[in-house]
Amino acid sequence: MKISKRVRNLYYKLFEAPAIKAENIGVIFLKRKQLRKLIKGMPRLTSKQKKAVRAYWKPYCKVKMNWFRYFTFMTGKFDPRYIPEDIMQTKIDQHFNSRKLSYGFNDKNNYSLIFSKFKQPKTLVRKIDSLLFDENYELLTSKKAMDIILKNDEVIVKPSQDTGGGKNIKFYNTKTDKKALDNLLNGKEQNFVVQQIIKQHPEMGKMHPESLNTVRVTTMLLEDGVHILSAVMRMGAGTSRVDNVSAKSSILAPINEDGTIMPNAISSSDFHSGNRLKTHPDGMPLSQIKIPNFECMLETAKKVSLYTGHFRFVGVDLCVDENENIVLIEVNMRKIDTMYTQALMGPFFGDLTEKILDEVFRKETK
Amino acid sequence: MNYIKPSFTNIYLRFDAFIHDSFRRNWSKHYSFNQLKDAKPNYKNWKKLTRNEKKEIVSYWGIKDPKKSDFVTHEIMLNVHGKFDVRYCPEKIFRVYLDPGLSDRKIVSAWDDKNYFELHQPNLPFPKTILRNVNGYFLDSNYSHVQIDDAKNIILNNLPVIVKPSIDSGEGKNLKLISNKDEVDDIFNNYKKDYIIQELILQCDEFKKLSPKSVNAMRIVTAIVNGKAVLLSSALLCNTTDSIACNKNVSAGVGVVIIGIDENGKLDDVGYFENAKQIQTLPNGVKFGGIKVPSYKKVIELALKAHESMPMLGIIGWDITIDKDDNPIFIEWNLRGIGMYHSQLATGPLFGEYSQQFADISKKLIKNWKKK
Repeated sequence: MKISKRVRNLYYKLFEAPAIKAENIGVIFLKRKQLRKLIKGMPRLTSKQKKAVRAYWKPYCKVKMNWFRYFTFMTGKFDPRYIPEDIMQTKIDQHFNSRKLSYGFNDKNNYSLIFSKFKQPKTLVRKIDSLLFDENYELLTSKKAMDIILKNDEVIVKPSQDTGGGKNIKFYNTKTDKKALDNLLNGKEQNFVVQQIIKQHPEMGKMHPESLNTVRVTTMLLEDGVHILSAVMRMGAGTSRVDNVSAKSSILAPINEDGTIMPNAISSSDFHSGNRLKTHPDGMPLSQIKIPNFECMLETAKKVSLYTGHFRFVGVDLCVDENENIVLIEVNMRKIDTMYTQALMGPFFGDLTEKILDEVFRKETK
Repeated sequence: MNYIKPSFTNIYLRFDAFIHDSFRRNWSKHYSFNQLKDAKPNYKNWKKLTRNEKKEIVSYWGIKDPKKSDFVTHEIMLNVHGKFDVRYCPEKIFRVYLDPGLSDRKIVSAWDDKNYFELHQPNLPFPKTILRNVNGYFLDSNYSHVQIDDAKNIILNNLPVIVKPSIDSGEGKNLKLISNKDEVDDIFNNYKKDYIIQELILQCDEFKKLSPKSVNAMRIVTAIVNGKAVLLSSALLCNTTDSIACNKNVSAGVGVVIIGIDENGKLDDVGYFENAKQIQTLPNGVKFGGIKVPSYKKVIELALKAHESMPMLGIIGWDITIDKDDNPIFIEWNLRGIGMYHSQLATGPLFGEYSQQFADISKKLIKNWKKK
């Protein structure tokens, strides 16, 4: 179809832009509602601090002071460079990450193709559009698929589209849950992957061996190459088997440059009191962990983010297996959660803040 | 504390789908009337469809409140091929319902990116990539970051090269051959982002004979039927002008010749211009009937196997050429608007023996369209 540039621009202005705006309004509403709950009882900013924030953000956009109030209380340090989460998830995310393409790229059945050069959890069976495939995209019957699955003791099933926050991730014991697995393979669900469970490095599993503990590395692609913005260790706690923030009982801990963990963590059930943990709720002091092969991990995250050029601001979830290999679990390509990372570590973009904000807002005003 | 996940993401998609529908409807109408206008002067006794034939079309494809534009494709095909056949797929049905309905609309734009073809299908032979530009950033063929100065050097060392946009391409739009050192700067000035720079393809002798200046490509259409990939149609696109792209739109539709290919890889005796005019010899005097396409069977095998691993894409139009060593080279795949009119001109009804199944799908889609 041949459509001239003018028509395309008009189409964007009339239809696409309002749709994106409508979506953004929803996100902003939810995020602010979330903040209002968290912020109860926190001390207010002084007028000097408020002035500093207004002066810093004047060339860019209007900001809500409550965000700075929240971050200042959580970190104990005031800084005008904090990025409010509603701006992060609308304007900044929209600028760096193509939303239209994200639906196709965020497909877990697509990962083994796009990221074929990186080690990933071994896929046993995939279901794409209600057809069953093996690891190498060869068609399977449901009987054959079952045979492949039964060779393992335990498997993990993840939905391949619309994922995030550990949603709908299920574990199956192949000896006891045979019927449930059979229902899954022949059932209504159209898109998912069945994967082997990763045996993690003993150092990574020290705190909470029941869950797979991962490192979330956030990267940004700028003109001079890939920058690493933050690296946070996420651990499960209690009975949890996943380490996502939405799992309520996970622990987030910042990582030093040499791979050791700062004894300065927060629990996801406690994002409002400002309490910092020095020990894991299961009893182990945090300072005793050192992430093996950490340098290689950062290198991998940098390489991964080059494969997703349409998404310049991504969160890469990595873990370390038994043999100290870095394993790629997931790449988050849109609406990356930075609120808790900022509450943990301070301004998200650090020294790059001005450069990034300049790029985002100058382009928008054009 | 409850972590709230925004559930507003779907609004954008739904809205997008709704708007696209109305756009598709208008464009398909526009397209089919243009085809009719171009085709009419080439045939002396223009026949029209009878009332019964129209009724048959409506019931076969499940058309709701039929309009004039729904019958245009059948009217053209009746005059071109001299015989009425319900199985021809109307342009409007294809563009509005089948095309978006068969492939998962959400993911199509991601799979359409030429910069990721090699990752999606690592077993297929693609033209050798020299440099890519993804979202404004230069990556080399192995997806490592390259600075602009280095990018220039890489291109200079590999001249001549072909530059084409990696997203929103088609009909040979913005495709350019760069053979001089002075032209390299034009790439950086004219193309802003999302393009791919590839090595020039040297085509086989058979194709070279037909038109030496353009790269002639086969347009092969495959679809998923009951979980298996099937071949729907295969035709050769051949540009008789000086343009490199075989499918480049030349004014008034004259220039591109579409020739059907039979099961054994032999070209049909009759070819068609885009305005439905029949020819048997190309303007340069070459008679194409009976010329055999080298390694045709291998091409079909590769295309079918590749399609089987991507069942979420219901229908694909592959552009494939043959290089000088008789090896197939996959230029691109098309997921949207696969140029169905050309295929039907050259090879008859697009869905062939599977027409009934696709008609049933179309009926279902039309029935449930608003509920979606």
